[in-house]
Amino acid sequence: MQHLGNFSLMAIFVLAVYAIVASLLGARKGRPGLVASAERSLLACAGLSTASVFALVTLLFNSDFRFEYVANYSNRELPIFYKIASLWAGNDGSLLFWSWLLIVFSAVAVWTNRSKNRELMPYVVATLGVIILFFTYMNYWVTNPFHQLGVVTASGATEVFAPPDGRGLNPLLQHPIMVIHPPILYIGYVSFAIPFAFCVAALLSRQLGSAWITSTRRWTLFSWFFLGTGIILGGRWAYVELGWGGYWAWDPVENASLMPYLTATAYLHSVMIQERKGMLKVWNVSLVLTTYLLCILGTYLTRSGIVSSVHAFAESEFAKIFLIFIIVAAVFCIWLIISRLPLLKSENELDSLVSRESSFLFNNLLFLAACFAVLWGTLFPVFSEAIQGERVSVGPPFFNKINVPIGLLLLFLTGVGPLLAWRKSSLDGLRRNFLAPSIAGLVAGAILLAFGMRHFYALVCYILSVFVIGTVVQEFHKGTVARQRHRGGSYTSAIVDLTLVNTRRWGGYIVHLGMVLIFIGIAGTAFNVDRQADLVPGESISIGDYTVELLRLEDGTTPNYDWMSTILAVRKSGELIGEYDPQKHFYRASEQPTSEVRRYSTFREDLYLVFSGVTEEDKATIQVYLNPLVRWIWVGGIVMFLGTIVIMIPNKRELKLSRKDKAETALRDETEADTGRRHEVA
Amino acid sequence: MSLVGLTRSKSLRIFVSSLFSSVMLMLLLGSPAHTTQQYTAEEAIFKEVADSLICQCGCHKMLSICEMQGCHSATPMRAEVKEKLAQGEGKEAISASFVDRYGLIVLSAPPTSGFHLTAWIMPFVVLIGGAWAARSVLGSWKRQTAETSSEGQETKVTAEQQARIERELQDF
Repeated sequence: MQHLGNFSLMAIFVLAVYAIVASLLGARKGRPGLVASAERSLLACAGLSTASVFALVTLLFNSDFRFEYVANYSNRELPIFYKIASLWAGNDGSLLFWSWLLIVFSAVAVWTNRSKNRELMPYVVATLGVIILFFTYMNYWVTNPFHQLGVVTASGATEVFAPPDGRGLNPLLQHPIMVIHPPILYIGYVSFAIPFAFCVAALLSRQLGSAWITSTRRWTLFSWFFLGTGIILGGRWAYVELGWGGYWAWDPVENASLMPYLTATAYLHSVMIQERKGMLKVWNVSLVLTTYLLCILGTYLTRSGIVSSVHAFAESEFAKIFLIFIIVAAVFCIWLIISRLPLLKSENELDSLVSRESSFLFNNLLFLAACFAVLWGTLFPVFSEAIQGERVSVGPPFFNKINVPIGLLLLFLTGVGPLLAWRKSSLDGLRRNFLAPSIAGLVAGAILLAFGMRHFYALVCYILSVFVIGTVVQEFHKGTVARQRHRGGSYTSAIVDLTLVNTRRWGGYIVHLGMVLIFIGIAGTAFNVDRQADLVPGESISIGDYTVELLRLEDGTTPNYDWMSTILAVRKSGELIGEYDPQKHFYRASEQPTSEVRRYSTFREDLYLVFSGVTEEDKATIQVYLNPLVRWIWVGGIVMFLGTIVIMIPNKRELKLSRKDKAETALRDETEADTGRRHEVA
Repeated sequence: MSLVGLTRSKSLRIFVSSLFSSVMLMLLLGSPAHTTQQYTAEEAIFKEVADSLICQCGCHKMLSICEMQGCHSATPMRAEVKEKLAQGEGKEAISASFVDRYGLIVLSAPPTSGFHLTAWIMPFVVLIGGAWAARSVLGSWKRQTAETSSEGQETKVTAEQQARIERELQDF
C-alpha cells in the first residue's frame, strides 16, 4: 500500500508540473489543445490523490504498525469509526487529506468549467497547479505519512520494525463530532482555493469583468458555509467533550478558522456592491486573496507550533517551508493587485452617505478590524518574544475586551444595513423603517433593566438583538403583505413565494437571524456560574435553582478504555429532573484520561455536570456549571445553515431565465438540425 | 409622532415586532440571565483573579477553567489565590506575586503598559484609521457623483415614476 501511496504522490507532483507549464504555454501560444491536456492532467490527479488516501486508510484499517503514522495515531482496539478520524489526527495524514480535498475541488472546478470561462481557465489551472504542487511536495518530501518505522540491528543494518500495538488516537478526538468537524472545516478552508484561483486568473489574464465573480459566487458561498458550520461544530465539540464548560477559548486554532470566515463574510457583502454598481473592485479582489492567504496562514499556525496550543501538533522545519510559501504567495498577490490597479478602476459614484453602500463599507471595516484584532492577538506572543525577549499570554480577556464592542457594532449594522436603500435613503424612509424595530429594542432594554440586568454589554446585545430581529421580521412581513396584495393566496404561500423569488436576499435575512440567535447565546456567557465540591454519596451541591446529589459511584471497562461514573440526582426547585452519569474515561493505549460531561439542556440554560475524578479521601470531585442561553448558539447555527441553503437555491427569476435559455437553445439546435437534414436531402 | 397618528400598517408593524420581541424577552427573562450576580462577593473576586491568570501546567487555559483533576499547577495556584484573598491582599498584588514567580506569561492578557500596550491599542488604531479612510473614500465618491451630475446630465425619470419606484422598493 505504501508503494501505491508514494507512487500516487510522485505522479501528482509530475502531473501538476505539467499542468502549470501546459496551461500557461497553451494560453500564451493560443493552443487550446495544450490547455485541455493540462485540465485533463488535473482530473487525473484527482484519481491518484484518491488512491493515496485510500492507501493510508487501508493501512489504518489493517493496523499496520510498521508505519509510523499508523502506530502514532491508532491502535488495535480503536473502533473502525474512529480509524477514519485517524486520517486527520496527525500532521502528515491531515495534510494528505487536505491535498486530496484540494485536488478533488480543483477537478470539480475544471470539469464544471470545461465549456465556459475559456480565457480564465488556463490561469485557473496554473494557479491550482502551483498550490497542488506545493502541498504534494510537502506530502511526499516533508510530511510523508507512508514512512516506515525502523530499528538498527547489531550488524548496523536498518530493519523494519512493527510495535505490537499503536499509541492510539487522542481520546479527545474520539467523539462523533470529531469525525465530521475536521472534514467540514477542511472543506471550508480548502475550497477557498477555487475563488482564489479564479481571482488570480482574472488578474493575470486581465479579464476583470464580472465573469470570475459569477463563476465563483457559489464556490465562495459553499466555502463560507462549510467554514462556518465547521466553526460551530468545533464549538459544540469543545463544549460537550473538553469539560471546561465553554465552547470558545480563543485558542490559536479557533482563531485561525475565524479569521478567513470574517474576511469571507466581508467579501460576501461587498461583492454585492460590485455586482450592482461596479464599485469596490480592488477591495473585492483583495478580500478574496486575503481570505485564502488567511486559510493557508491558519494551516501554518495549526501545524508549525509557532503559537502554542493544544492543537499545534507539530514543530519542525516544515514550518519554514510553509512560511516561505505564504510570504511568496502574499508578495505575488500584492504585486498582482498593484500591477492591475488601472484595470480595477471603479465607477465610484455615491448618491448619499446614508445608503446601503456606505453601510456595507462600514460593515466591511468592522469585519476587517475584528479579523485584525484576532490576528494581532494570536501573533502578539510571537512579537513580544521577538522584540522584548519575553513571551506573554494572550487569552480570552484580551480577545473579549477588543472584539465584544466590534461585534456589537456589527450586530447594529446587521439591523441597519438591510433597512437602508441602495443609492440614497430618505428621512421619511428611515423613520418608516426604523420606528418599529427601534421601539421593540428599547422596550426590551427597559424591561431587562427593570428586571435587574446591569451587565452593560449583555444589555446592549439584547437590545440590539431584539432590534435586528424586529428589522428582519418587519422586512419579511412587508414583503409578504406586498406579495399577497399582488398575487393573492395565503400569508404562508406568499412568504414562501417571496423567499423563492429572491433567495439571496431573503436567505441572507435568515442568516442574519441565525447570527442574532448566536449573539444572544454568547451574551448569556456574562451570567455563567460554576461550583465545585468533593462529595460522598448522599451529599449534594447547589447552584441556582438546582441541587445535585451524588447517589453512587460506578466503574467498568471496555476494550478501548476503563471508565468511572458518578450517578447524580438532579433536582430543580426540589423537583427531581432525572439522574445523570458524568464519567471519567481512561484510555489504555494513550494513557490519557477524558471527562465525559452530562448536560440538562433547555432554551433557558444548561446545567453542565463534570466528574473531575476521585480525591485521596475517596470523594468524587463534581464541577457544576450553570450556563444560560447556550442552546441558542446551536439553534442559531442551524438557522444560519438553513439560510445558506436558501441562498444557494437558484432564484425563480434565474430558473425562469435558465429554462428560457435552454428552450431557446433546444429550438436553435432543432432548427439547425432541420436545416442540416434539408441540406443532406438536397 | 403620537401613536394615534400612526397609520394602520405602521401599527401592524409595531405589533408584529413587539410580539416577536416579547417572545424573545420571555425566553430571556425566563433564564437566570436577567438576575443579578449569582456569585458571592468572595467568589466573584476569586473568579476575577483566576480569570486573569494562566494555569502553568501547559494547558494554556485560564486558572479558572483548567479542568484537570488535581492539576499540579492549578490546584496550588488556586489555593494560594484564595489564601492571599483571605489575608486581604488586593487583586493587583496577587497578580504581581505570580508575575514575579512565572513572568508575564502567567497573565491571561498582556499588561497595559510599555511595549505591551501596543497589543491593546493597535486594533483600535486600525479601526479608527479604517473608519477615517472609509469616510474619506465615501466623501470622494460623493464628490465624484456630484461632479458627474452637474455636468448637465438630465434625469429621464419623472417625479411620478420616481415615487412609484420608491414605493416598490419599499415593498420589496
